[in-house]
Amino acid sequence: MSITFKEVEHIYSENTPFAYHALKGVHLNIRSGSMTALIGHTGSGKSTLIQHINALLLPTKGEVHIEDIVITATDKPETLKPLRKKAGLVFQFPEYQLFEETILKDIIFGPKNFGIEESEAIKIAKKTLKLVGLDESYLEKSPFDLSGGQKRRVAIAGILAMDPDILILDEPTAGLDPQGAKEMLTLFKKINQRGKTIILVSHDMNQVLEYCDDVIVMNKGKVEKHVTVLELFKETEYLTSLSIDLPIITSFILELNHKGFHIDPSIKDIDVLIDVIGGQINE
Amino acid sequence: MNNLMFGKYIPIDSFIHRLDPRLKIGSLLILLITVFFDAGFIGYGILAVFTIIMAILSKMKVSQIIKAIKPMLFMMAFLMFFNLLFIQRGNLLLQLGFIKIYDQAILQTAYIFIRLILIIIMTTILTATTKPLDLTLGIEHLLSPFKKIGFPTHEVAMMISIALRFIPTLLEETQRIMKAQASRGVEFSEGTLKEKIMSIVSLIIPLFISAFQRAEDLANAMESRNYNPEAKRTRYKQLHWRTTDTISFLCVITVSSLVIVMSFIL
Repeated sequence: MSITFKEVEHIYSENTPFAYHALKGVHLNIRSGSMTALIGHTGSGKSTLIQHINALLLPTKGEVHIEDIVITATDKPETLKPLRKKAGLVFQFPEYQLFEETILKDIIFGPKNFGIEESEAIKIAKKTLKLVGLDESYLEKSPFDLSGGQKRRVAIAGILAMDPDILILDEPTAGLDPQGAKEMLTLFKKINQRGKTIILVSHDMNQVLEYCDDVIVMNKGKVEKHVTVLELFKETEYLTSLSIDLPIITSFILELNHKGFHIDPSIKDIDVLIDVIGGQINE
Repeated sequence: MNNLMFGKYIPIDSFIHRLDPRLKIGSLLILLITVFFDAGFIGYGILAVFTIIMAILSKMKVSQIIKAIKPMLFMMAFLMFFNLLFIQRGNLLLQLGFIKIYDQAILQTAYIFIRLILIIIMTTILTATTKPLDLTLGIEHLLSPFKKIGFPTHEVAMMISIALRFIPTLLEETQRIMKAQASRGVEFSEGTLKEKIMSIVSLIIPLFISAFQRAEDLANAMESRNYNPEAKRTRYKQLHWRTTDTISFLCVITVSSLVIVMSFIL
């Protein structure tokens, strides 16, 4: 599903002393089936932007198009419910949204709200729980007995069970151990390869390089760049000006090139890099 | 939820903002007591004019005052409805079957309406012009004479300031959880009664869990800093009583004694 923003502005608490201009004329077109990273500093408008995609926030001005659905400032929230099913949003620290007695009940909560039969929802729940790396013995446990990382998996399963066409993830790996983070991102990549559009808010450029196709850079409420990942990491000076670190592998290659190597900086894979370095040393 | 105006501090600079919090809390108490003395419409007229002057001096906008009154409208309508029906004194004005309306009932209802509006506006002026921390500091100072009889002044002030400190945090949390559940298809304003109860449950349980978690974290943080409520402490923030405070206090006393005296004469 393609996502288009046209001149979108968003002002929080308009006409009060607390008014805050979060989005200042955002133009954007995220292509269907892509895995797009959204980066930028705290307060750059990332969270505001993603909440427009499933109409939790309505634009103060401008339009948001999700395939053929148009969201404008005057829309009534109740007409937008179908959109919530199409665009699944996983908030930062989603484990706070768990509330049911058992994990099974919590996962089928979303699908049931969108009118899926209970028996069908249970089947989906079992499948999704396996997908996020927990076995069926967890189904009847209370979500509050789990560890932080397991809670996160259950919360994400609750969104995945709705089978959204667009999956929006706000720092899904914050606070997870490196192994858990890697498993999660591999899962998202797999979902992406099945044709779903994924938007990933991240501060970790290594993740952006390894898993994403495109990247959107937000700064002060505006989209500053919307390019492919490889193009972005070529612009080292621009990134330094935003004090965004390069991925470890890219900065390592640049360092080597500085010392006289000639390595393509777009290499993502550590094994490929080792081969290239080996080849050049032998020369 | 976003536009919750009642009890929110408005960060601007005005005459009322600069007054001593002790004066503001004391004056509010005096004025609230005065509101309940029945001095007829003239008395309420005087209080209303005084309240309007305070509102102007605090640079409150009319829209902000309306926003503060709005959430109370339902309760006010409820109260007025029952007053109108159940006060049965004076002359009968209207009878519709078993419903009887008396002229005293209308008068009393009008009084209640005016009282409530005045109370809400006065309280809003206090909270809009005083930072929560100044408010607790003022309360602590005003309560300090009770220390002698063993009243835990500091503990009470600490509890109030913690409660006030976490109101915005909990509101933010509420909004966050509402959005997370809305993303899972919950509609908080729509649906049958059963669906509505379910949607409230999906909000309340996570909210309680995080509130308890926060309470525990805060308690641990205070313990690990060796917090002792009985310890003698100094303050970074000092309160200064100025001449303008004395003059303002005299104005409040004059207005309220005028109204109280009138209520006995009339």
